[in-house]
Amino acid sequence: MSPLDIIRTSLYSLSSNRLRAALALLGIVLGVCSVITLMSIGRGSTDRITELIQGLGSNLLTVIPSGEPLTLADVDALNDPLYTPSIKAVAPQIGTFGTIHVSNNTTQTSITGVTPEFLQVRNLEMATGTFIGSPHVESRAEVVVLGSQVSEDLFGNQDPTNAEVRINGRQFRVVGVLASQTGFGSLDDQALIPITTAYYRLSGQRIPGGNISVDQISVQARDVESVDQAIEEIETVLRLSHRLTDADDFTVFNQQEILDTFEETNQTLVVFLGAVAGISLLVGGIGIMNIMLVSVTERTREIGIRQAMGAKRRDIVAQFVTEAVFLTFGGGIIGVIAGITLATAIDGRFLIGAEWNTRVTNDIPIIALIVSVAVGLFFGIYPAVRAARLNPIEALRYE
Amino acid sequence: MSTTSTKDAPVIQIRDVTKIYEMGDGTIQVRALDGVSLDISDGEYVAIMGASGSGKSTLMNIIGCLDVPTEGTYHIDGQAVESMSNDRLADIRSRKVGFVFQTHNLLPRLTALANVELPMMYGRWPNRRTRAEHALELVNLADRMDHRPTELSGGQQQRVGIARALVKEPSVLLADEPTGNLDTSNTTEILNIISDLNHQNGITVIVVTHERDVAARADRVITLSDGHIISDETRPQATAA
Ligand SMILES: Nc1ncnc2c1ncn2[C@@H]1O[C@H](COP(=O)(O)OP(=O)(O)O)[C@@H](O)[C@H]1O
Ligand SMILES: [Mg+2]
Repeated sequence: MSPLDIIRTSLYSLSSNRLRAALALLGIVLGVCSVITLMSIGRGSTDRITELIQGLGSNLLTVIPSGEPLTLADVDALNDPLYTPSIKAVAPQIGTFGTIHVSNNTTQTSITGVTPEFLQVRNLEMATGTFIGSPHVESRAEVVVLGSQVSEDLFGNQDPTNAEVRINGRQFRVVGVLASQTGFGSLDDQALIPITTAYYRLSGQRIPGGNISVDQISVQARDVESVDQAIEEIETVLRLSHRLTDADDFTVFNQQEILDTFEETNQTLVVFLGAVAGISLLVGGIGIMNIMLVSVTERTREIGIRQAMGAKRRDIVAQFVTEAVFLTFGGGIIGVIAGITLATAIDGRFLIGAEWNTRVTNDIPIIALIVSVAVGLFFGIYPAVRAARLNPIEALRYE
Repeated sequence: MSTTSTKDAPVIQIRDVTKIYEMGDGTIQVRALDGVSLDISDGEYVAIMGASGSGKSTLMNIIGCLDVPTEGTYHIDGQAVESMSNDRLADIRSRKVGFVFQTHNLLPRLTALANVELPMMYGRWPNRRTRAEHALELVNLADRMDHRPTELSGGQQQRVGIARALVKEPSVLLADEPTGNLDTSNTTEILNIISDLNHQNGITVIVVTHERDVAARADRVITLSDGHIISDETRPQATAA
């Protein structure tokens, strides 16, 4: 039996029960459609989060203490262009919690002590007013920059610039409000004050030698290429100023590394989503097998006639497997179209309480089609072999 | 007859063939054929008669390679069937023997032409369409080629069945009660076609029937009873013809 004859014969059989073929197809369509949609959502959300992390700047490094505290003296050392030519800006910070109070509104939020460099290093923009300036830091001024959410909680839609607020009982003047940001490390729900004010007025901790300890130092490398060089400079400078001989008492985090770790985790998520959708494809495959088995029983007499006309076992197997593969391949194509349509339709929309981001890459439909053909082969084999094993005499007598 | 039998090796050579059907997990055994021996030479026209259940269809199915004997040997054109693989049996079915059934056994959604092409498709024959058209012309169905079985009368359906059997130019044409479902005029037409195939094309014909006038067409009448051959008569005038 030639391949063309096999195809013709299979199409003949499929066309003899269109409704059943359509129902068998449906299971595969749904399976493939959910594979495409879920995998596109997985890819899309990876993209989105990567984008958000990269928004922080891929040339951003973070230094945190892991033993001895970091101080403003370390910040000065890192700012020396002679030793750190690859560093563009250094922004130390102190974090604390506080209660902000204005007339009859109160909100609990994190209060971060910063220097003017923070604005540049963290890519921030002002909605109104100004950021904290050097004079504020030098004079330990009681001024505050509000995150957009904090501003809204306390002042609603009013411009809070120059308003007086109380932070942990102390009077502060609002100098500006940050523009709202989305995503990773958003400062919308924070208030920023000069780092010196935070240290001397709000935090209770003191270290010997009159230095100011900081919780974290953000370092902006000159550009993405100089990140590695910048890390080396930070390590050299801090080892010198801390007079270290063996283990470091600080840790440098690279934004790129965090991104890599995240992407790895998310890749696992994509695979997991794909596997979940794969199960529905499997269920569709079992549906195909079920329908093929019914079809074999129903067409026992046809099989007997074909055997009497000289069909070999492999001809019968080929006919039934090809039928199953036609069903799954057809279902696969419709499923791919439906899946791409669905994934494209929900992209960027806000549905069921979440924003959906999808990306359909070329490999997803190709994989889905290959898998659906494989499903047809796998689930078509058993019914086909059952058909081919029929005894011609008994098949011909079957009513 | 005896003068020609030395020259021609028999097309069909059956020796001590027994066919046992087992039912109910082997507890019930039916001896459909019991020690049957039979030679049929090239070009013979044989009728097989006998009561219902005497084993006629079982014998035909074995001759047509649709089934294999439980015991005994069977050679077709000198080839031993009992040792053949499934694929070889299928090959014989698609090339050497043409089978005509009592119920036509056509595929309902295929046209007459496509039904006739079917055995050639499995045998991978060339020029299938032309051959099939020619076969349908032989059974006077040139104007019904594109009809489906349901659009044909019983006699026409049976003629398609004959066209399907003769299209592969078989060594042996087997017909199991081919006129069992037909009226007299259709029966005559079918029997005329079969006789012509035997007389003009020299095809060996074996017809199962329980009707005397059908058997009267044959040169030789074999009668079965309970799986045994109880008589085997060659009519003298046939040898002369
Ligand atoms: N597939 C089968 N299974 C069991 N018994 C069978 C089968 N085919 C035929 N028989 C039995 O074998 C005997 C001969 O049957 P068959 O050859 O069809 O007779 P005939 O064609 O002469 O009427 C009958 O008793 C029948 O019941
Ligand atoms: Mg019978």
